[in-house]
Amino acid sequence: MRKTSAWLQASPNDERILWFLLAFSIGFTFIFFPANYPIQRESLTSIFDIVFLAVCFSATGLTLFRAAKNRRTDALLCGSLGLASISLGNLYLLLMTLVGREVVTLSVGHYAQMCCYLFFIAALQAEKSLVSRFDKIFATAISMTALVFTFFVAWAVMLDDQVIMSWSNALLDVMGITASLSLAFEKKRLPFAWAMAVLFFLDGIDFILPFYVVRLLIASVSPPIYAGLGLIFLTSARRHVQKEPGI
Amino acid sequence: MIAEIWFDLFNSQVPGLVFSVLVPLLFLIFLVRDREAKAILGYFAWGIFSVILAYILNNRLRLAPNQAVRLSQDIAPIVEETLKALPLLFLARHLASSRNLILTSAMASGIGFSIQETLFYLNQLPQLTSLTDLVPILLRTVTTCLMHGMATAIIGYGLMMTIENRLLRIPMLSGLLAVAVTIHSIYNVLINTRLAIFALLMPAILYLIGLLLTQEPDKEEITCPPVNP
Repeated sequence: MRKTSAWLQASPNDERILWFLLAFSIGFTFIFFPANYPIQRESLTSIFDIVFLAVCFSATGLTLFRAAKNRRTDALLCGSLGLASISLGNLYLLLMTLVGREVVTLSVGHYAQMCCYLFFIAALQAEKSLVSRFDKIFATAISMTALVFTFFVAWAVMLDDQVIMSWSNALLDVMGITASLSLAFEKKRLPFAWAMAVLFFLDGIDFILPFYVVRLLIASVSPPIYAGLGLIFLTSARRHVQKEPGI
Repeated sequence: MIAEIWFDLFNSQVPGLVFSVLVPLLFLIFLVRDREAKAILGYFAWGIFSVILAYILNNRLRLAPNQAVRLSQDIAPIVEETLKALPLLFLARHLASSRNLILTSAMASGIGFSIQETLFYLNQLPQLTSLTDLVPILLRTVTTCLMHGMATAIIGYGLMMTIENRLLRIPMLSGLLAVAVTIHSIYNVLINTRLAIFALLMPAILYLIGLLLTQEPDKEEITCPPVNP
């Protein structure tokens, strides 16, 4: 039996904050996307990036500290680290702009943005119950692909090789969609699996159709998606605790 | 190519600085009987030694066109964080009984690296003329040491958390490597800009968070089932 601090249960306030963030980001998307779409200015995506950064950092703070303090190794920890990774990647790119260094090559910020998906894949793996031999082989294959992916992305960033980066991204999206769909028909994991599938699908679309409209659309729907993910991680962790009799 | 690398290395001060600390440390490691202390000192020694490997790799990678300007920002963080954390995988296999030992050893490896890096950096500075010259050096030493230590500790934390769930280990560690690399790169970029104060504060904040997280859980604990048996 694993031990968990009592304050893990006292999470309604955190969930309320995440509900508020979700509502705020949905409202922001609905108001700003139609208003900004006809202007088609590259700088507009950065407004969404700042909102995204704020939402992601708040969701990270709420989920990560709870997961780490209670030494959880489930989807809550993996998911919150994923949120932390994408927040750091975006922060890096924002800081580059602030200090006047234009990011024209592949950078560590892109590396962190890509590797956040590895945490989400780990979160999907953590939710999966390894019953059959096939499940174990599937999980090992995912781990090995993640290792190969990390090597190639690090290599691409160090040598500024856009082709390797793009193909690694495609590989990751396929891996993520496969891992999400393997959970998509389990009733209890339905919201989590489909949110992940949408996330990887959007990333894949961004790779296949690199147009301004697609980029703006993805940038505008990202804040609500990530706020929603934080909420899913937190509520599923609370349900795990409530299931135990006597709590 | 090997001759070139050899020539490059021995024309620098790196081997001298590394071995002047490493050799006495190795004597100490062989003398110590306590297994945990041996592990921590061993990882500290690895951190010191990995400076040589980092020096060679960084030098080779910056030779490509337009790479020199990207060295401290995009290349060195990836090379250094990977090298510092590499032997931790061995620790997970053999010393899994002590969770905090993984974290401490990871930090020892990072601090070992930072000591050598700082020595190398200080060696290139002009001689001090007054005590006030010491302040920026001390400040940089403290923050570099904490940054390197905490960046490797982040990876050690991932290892510690995945002891019982091996299937999560590779995606988790790969992701944490990216987090450590990003923190390292943010520090390297900001330290020479008007936002240097953030670079100086960031390692201290990370250290405080680390201290909070490594504390034992509260007394009034409740039991809950293993989340993923």
